[in-house]
Amino acid sequence: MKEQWIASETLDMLLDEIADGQKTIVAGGTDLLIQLREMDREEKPTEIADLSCIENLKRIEVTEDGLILGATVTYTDLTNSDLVRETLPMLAQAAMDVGSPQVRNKGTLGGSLANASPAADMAPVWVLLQADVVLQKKGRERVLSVAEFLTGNMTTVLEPGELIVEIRCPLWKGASMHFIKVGRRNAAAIARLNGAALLRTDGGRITDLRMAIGAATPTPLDLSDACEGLASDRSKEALDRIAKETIRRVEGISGRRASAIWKFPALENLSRRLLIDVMQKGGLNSETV
Amino acid sequence: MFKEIPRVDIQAKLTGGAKYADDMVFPRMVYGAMVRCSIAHGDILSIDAEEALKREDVLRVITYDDIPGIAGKAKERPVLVKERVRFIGDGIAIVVATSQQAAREAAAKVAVTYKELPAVFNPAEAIEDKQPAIHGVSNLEKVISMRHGDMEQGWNQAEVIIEEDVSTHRVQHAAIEPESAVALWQGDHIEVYCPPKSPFNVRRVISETLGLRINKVRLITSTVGGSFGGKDYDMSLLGSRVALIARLTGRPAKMTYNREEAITEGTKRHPYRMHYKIGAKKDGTLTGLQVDVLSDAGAYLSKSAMVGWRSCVESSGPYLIPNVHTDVTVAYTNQIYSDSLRGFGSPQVDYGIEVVMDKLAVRLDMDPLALRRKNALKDGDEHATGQILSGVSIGHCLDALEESSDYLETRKRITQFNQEQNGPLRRGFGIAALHRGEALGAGGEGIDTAGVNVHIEKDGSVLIYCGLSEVGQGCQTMMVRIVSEMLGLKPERCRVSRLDTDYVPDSGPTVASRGTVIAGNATVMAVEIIKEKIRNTLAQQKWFKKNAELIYEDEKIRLKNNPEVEVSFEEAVKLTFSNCDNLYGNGWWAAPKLVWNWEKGQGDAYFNYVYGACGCEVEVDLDTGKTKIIRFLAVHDVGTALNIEEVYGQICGGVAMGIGYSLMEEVKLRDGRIQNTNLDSYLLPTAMDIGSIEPVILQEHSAIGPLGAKGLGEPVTSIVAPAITNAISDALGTQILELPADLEHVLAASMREEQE
Ligand SMILES: Cc1cc2nc3c(=O)[nH]c(=O)nc-3n(C[C@H](O)[C@H](O)[C@H](O)COP(=O)(O)OP(=O)(O)OC[C@H]3O[C@@H](n4cnc5c(N)ncnc54)[C@H](O)[C@@H]3O)c2cc1C
Repeated sequence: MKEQWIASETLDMLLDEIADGQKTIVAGGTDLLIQLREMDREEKPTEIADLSCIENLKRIEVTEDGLILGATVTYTDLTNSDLVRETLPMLAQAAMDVGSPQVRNKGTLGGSLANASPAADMAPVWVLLQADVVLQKKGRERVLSVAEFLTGNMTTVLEPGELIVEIRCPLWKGASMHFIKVGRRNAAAIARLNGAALLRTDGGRITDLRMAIGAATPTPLDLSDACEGLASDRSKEALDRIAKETIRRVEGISGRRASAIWKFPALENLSRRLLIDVMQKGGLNSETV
Repeated sequence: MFKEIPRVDIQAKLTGGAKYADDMVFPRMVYGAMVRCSIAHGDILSIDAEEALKREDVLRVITYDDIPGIAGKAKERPVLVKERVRFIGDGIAIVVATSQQAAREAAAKVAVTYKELPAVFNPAEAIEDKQPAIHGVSNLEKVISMRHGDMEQGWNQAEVIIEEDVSTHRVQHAAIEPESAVALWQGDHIEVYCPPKSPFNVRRVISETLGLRINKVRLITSTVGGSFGGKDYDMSLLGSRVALIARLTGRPAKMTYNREEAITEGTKRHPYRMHYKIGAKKDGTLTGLQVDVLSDAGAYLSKSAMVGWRSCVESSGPYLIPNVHTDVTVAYTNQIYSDSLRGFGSPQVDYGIEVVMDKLAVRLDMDPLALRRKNALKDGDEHATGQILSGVSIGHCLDALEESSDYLETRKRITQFNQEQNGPLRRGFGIAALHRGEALGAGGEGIDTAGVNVHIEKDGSVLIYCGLSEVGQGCQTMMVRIVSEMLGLKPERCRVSRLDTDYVPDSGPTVASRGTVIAGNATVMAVEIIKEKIRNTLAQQKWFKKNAELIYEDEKIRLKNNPEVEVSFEEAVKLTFSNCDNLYGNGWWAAPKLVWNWEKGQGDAYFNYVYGACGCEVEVDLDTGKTKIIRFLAVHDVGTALNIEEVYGQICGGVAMGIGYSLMEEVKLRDGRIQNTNLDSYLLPTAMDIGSIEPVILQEHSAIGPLGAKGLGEPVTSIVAPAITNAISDALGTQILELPADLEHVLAASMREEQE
């Protein structure tokens, strides 16, 4: 049995190496190592391709496409980046809530997307911000929205031999944003629920109000369409309607499981709270139109 | 008050110098891996190891039939099961191979078939008729009772009576080091290296397993990576299994559990279901208390009856209640079995009485602190066991809690905070009070004795041997403190030997927060013997008169009446040895005898009680049920603090552990199978979850403890949960009577409140 660890320095070299679709990709390894531990010896992959030597995948830049984040940018990179904090501070806020310092140092944005855990903390953020993901395999590049990329619980559109190269995130200039995570403890906790909301106003009027919720459905639930009504009606009743609608949709997708005893009321409260908090951040009072 | 000294083991532990059992490697070493039972109740029909034995790196597969001695006493978990399996995790076979990985892989290939029996998982059902009996004819192991006063009078005198059901859940020790042991067969005796909590129990079980006399088993403790009451019977079994391998193969053997194994087979804290009935006059005076406890022992006995006894004795809290009637029922189920865990039956009943006291306070429209103070035990009071108490400091603990928490101001501030909120956050403040019996008590945990040997070497350095384990609680540092204080020496002169059962007397288990008191007193006695020898030498050499009063300080020995006359300690040591004498002192201390009447449940349960009071401020998010600990005040009367830093360490660690118990830890079982077998799903609190812990130390000299010290290790965790849940209840305006106060329970309670 041949065991191989491939660490190329350029993206093209790596794409060549993995073109056969047989290699297992590793970035930070924070998901992969746990999965390997649970496998029997016979199932364990023998050929591993490591992304960590490719400088280009670590870039953080602003271009006309928005904020560009390379696939191996870590959570710590996000929280430490002045550029991120100036342009999209909510990314740093959400990244701060991930795992523990060790996990944030190793875990990458690309790894999180490819792993596609329903509880991933960045996932609802990308959906909320309508971020795109850039995928490459030898001789092909494609750009998809994160919402298209994630297809279910731990599933994506990634093909064998294909890599996530970067995430492109619109800047939503002037918007107020808010992220909430609920875990059983304050660090190193998988989200029981998470979610993010965004608000843009023009002279006291809502121009954009968006919300996405994670950890309730296999992929993040985009509730932005349900929030449209708030532009004309910000009453308590309107917020309650959206909160109820959130549960209705979650139930429609995932059904009512045992965990619903907590999840449904918490979800109702969380969606209401996200909207109230983001409106407050944006200087709007939820009771007044 | 004594100056703090650094822990004597701190450098070794921080630099990686300390060696744990798994660090030990011997040439030609072999490794064992367990085959464990996968059903909750049944009989083994066959064990097929053919596939495993096909591998070249597998030496043999050990089963029950290979055991030279006995696999275990009646009702105790066997080293390997003969036929009947009683919980998912019972040990069936040990696969021995030349590497750990090979052993594990081969163990997975051993096929076991069973005849399944009906299993019972609920203790209330388990003790009903017609349930499958797990041991003997019934699942009812024992009912432990306490009868004090006259209940009829208790209820007649009451103006208010409330009844509540309260429950606590199953948690575990989760020491960072999982169980591990190494064994060598030395031709005529077995040598075992492991981190035991109770080394002499482990030694005894190994001797029984191998069919050897006790003197043929030598147990040498490796550094212990955490115990918290664990590494007791679990260590006895693992030690026996590894010894079996070494005995049967003649090769050095090692076994180290991984986390999943440690959780699957490791003992847990007893879950309790409790029913309380409490009566009081309108002014708060308690008149009667009835407590019915149902304890889930799980599949084997171990110390469940003793745990139940402590619960029974302590069930009335630190309060004067003239009429008390308690029954603790211990039942078997086909669940993972329960054993000692820091607190040993105290945390459950402390939770019960303390949340019920708060409920009563609400009912009486009385402040919770005032209600406790009104009923707090005092010197000369009659405890519910009938014992007349002395050295009672609960009143002072409550005073200290009131002062350190700025009680009235805090309540005012919190009320104001809550009034100003229009978001989901609410604050609350909760308190709880504690009394806890010191050491083993009369309940049959064992004979409360310990030995400590102090050897002054010829160069004046000191070597201390002790029969109690250093499990992280600071036992070694405590002994160094006592020796160095009594002999006026620098602590650096002393080293504590690792515990080797060949060299130290059987000192019983390291449990019941007894180390400081029992081993401490033995240390004092050993030093007294040494002092006597020094005095003889010096008198013979005409330094001092025979009955002169000597002072030991600054590494010198001086005459009390004339401090000018002095001899250096090292000089005195030299003189003694050159005089053909030695400076070895063997101390042996036995706790005062106690008498308990089992029928009436009355008597002298413990030679002393320790007292404490805790207060906690929380912030609850009504949207999600998430609780944040803002501040935790822990008042404990520790007697003389032998090392104040260690006292802080015990308190902060104990409170952190209690926070886990209160808010998030829970061993989840489904049909007898543990669902969360690793620390990603069994959640322990992190540094981000424990808020600010503020120890408040009272030092009321103990009449019995060494230099006036009292035990502390378990009291510190015992009333954390009720203080926290009382605070949550205060924030919600509705009482939480069930642990853990996790997201689900707290959100459900807050919604209940909305509906009311
Ligand atoms: C203790 C702990 C706590 C955690 N807490 C959180 C938390 O709070 N919130 C949270 O969201 N997550 C959490 N995680 C999960 C994990 O850290 C994240 O999902 C992380 O972002 C994964 O990144 P990685 O680089 O480590 O991925 P890896 O483990 O290296 O890879 C994960 C998967 O993605 C594939 N992959 C990696 N990079 C690429 C790429 N560029 N293109 C294609 N495929 C790729 C790998 O083949 C593998 O299948 C936690 C993990 C641990 C161990």
